[in-house]
Amino acid sequence: MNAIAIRDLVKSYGKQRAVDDLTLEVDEGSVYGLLGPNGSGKSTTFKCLLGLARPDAGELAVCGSPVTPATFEYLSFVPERATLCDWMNGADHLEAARRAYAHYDEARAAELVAIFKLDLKKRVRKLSKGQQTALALVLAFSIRPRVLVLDEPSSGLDPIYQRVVLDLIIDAAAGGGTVVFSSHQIGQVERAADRVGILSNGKLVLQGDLDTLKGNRKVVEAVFPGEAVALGDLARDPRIEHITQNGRIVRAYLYRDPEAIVAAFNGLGARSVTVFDLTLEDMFLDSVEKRGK
Amino acid sequence: MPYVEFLRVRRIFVRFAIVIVVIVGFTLLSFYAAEMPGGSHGVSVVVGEGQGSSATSQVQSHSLGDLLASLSQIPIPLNGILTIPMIVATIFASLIATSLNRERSVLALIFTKPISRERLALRYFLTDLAGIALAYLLVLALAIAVPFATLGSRVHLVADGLSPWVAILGFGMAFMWFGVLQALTAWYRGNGGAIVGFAWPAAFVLLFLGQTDAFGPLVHGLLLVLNLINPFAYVNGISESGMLSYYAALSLPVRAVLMYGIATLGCAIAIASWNRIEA
Repeated sequence: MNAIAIRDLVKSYGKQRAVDDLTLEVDEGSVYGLLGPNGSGKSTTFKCLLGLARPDAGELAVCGSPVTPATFEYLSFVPERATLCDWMNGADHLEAARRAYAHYDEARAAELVAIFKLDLKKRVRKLSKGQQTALALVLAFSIRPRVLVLDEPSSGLDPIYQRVVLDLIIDAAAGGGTVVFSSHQIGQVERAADRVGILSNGKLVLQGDLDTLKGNRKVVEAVFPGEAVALGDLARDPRIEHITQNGRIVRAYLYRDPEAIVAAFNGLGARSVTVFDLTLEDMFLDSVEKRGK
Repeated sequence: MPYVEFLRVRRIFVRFAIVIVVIVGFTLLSFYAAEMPGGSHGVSVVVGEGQGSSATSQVQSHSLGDLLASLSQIPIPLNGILTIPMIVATIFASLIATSLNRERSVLALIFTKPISRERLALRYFLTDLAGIALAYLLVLALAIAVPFATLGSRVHLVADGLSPWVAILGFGMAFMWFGVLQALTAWYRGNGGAIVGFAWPAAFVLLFLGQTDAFGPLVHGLLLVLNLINPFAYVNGISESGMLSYYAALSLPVRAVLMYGIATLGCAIAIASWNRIEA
């Protein structure tokens, strides 16, 4: 069963189409990583899903039903910028959450506060951006939600706490929860997500199971002495899926025979040639660049 | 979240109460200072004025205490006292009447809680109105206590048949101002405090412009309509003595119905517009 189902979502702000015919499904108990450059429509998608913004078209459902206030008994959301009342302190926020949710878990909240070393007596406006994000995460995870929607959950956090967030996401999924999150930390998405989607200009340009997407694709990266690189027939080589050039750096994406391409680059006078396994970062940059063109 | 609004109203009420208590404290201190030996005797009774001369001769001076001591009973009209909490509670209502607008920066936090927007707004309003009622009662209690504290048991509060209506309309003015300001600010994405700051002078300008026919019947009619949502247009003739304008000329029950009705309508408009707002 789909924990989250978005079909043909369209949302515009004035003449700007923020989300363009987006269809996305997330299985129950899985982790879905949504990637995209700034302004690609990730936050707008989450807002439409949660009823915070009105879609122009499309169908949205969480656990088979449209979102209603009752949905938030088991769905937690952490927005892009930690949205907290800056005049209240952490303890006030936890108390407000305790009163708002039937399933609020005080012991879990205390455990998370200790993990993030939060000072609950401090007013939110006195907390650093990372501490505010941490408090928002404590609020989100302390109801032990079945569905978590996290928009940049590591924003402002140092690498130690980014790892904590990663563990929390993996732990939530291991406990049967569903997590959808966006992040600029591509490594984090690669570690946690079962499936990924890449958004560019409001469109989903790539989606799928991470291992399947990667396949056994390789990247051959060549650095040439000058920017005027004549690739000749290499650009049309059937073994190469596609090729990109950024100044003196040329990258070829391919499924087979990387050695032959290395030899070809060397033949063209490359200063250095390296072969990599395709990473999510490569896929992300490649998808966004292709879309940009 | 209703608890957030409870904390906010409590915070504003505590500050408000401190200011009120300090003002009352200063009032009492200045009264007792005037009564102390060597204190300033503030009341001068002028008994004669020289004919054809600009000089005024002050032949006798008494302290306030001397004057009041000569009275066996000091009657104080309750209706007059009731105007003090009416005005102060209206000021307090201004402080908390942007409760929905204030949440514009945290909509993603409060709209993702298991409570509908309408119910949430209603809980906010109930909390706000409880705060206004408390402010009204606090000021009323102090306004009654001060004469007794300064003049003693000879104070005699004089109530009449209008007094309950004055109290109802007094709270109604604060409630109506609250409802109007909520309707004006709930939809607004900017700082609602700016609208509140503008609303006070605007209400008085509307009221006073409407006292004249100088702009012709069309403008006068427009002002009459605009003053329908101006709570100050309902109470300036509250004592039913002399200055009757606009809706203050209506009977007290009709005024009460209009004021409470418009306040409720304002709150309903605020909820409807808040319901449509996007985070």
